[in-house]
Amino acid sequence: MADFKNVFRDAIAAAQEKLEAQAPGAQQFLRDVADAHKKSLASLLAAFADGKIDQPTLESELADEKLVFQGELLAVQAIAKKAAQDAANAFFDVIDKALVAGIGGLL
Amino acid sequence: MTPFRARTRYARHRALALFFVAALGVGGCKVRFIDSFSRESEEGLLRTYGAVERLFDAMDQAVRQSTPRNYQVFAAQYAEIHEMIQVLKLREDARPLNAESQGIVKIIDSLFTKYREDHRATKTFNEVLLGRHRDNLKRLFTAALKAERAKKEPDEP
Repeated sequence: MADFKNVFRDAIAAAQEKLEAQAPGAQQFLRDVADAHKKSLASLLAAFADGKIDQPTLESELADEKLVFQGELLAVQAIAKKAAQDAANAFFDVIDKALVAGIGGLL
Repeated sequence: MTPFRARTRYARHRALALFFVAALGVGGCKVRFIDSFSRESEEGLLRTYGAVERLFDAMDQAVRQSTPRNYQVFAAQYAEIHEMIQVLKLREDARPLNAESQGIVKIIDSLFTKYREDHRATKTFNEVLLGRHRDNLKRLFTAALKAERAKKEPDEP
């Protein structure tokens, strides 16, 4: 029968592997989102400083920018949820296989 | 140990093992935090974004060619996009474990409606803000597409 100390170690490694595989994509997207937010704020403030937009328009556009940023962060949240789901399933796959193999020996 | 006790013990282990196999059959289900990928949602987002781009391109052309900017010129395009966004919303709201996509589409709807109402109320649009609004919607559609594609399984095309 499988040694459960090893089974848990393998399960954790499988989960970690899934998380590590998806982390770079999520980090890059988060960097892109932060960059877009920074550029957007800078251009908005420049338009206000140049007198191209008035105070109420600036405030309205800042509120929109906040909403857009929120939407982008929701996408990051979806990516993180899928990574957590894949990691949890990789973990339980290892445990399930070991249990089935162990129980199979008893039957 | 008497042969009778040994048999009883074996039967107990066997029953326990069968119980675990049955439990694993149920537990074998996958953990779910987020809905599966939907090709229909992905295509709906791309189609709607295409219509948004056509509208902003038409408004950009109006600025470049000094043609009328009044709402009526663009009303049909606004109505078409509004309808497409409502379909997106309906589709996303009907999916379980889909809070992120629902949230993004809700923001798309609220910003697009705001831009449309501003245009209708002022009977024109501010050319300084045209690029900004176009970019805001592009960022949101990109986010919605990212959220949808994140749901794909590694072997899913």
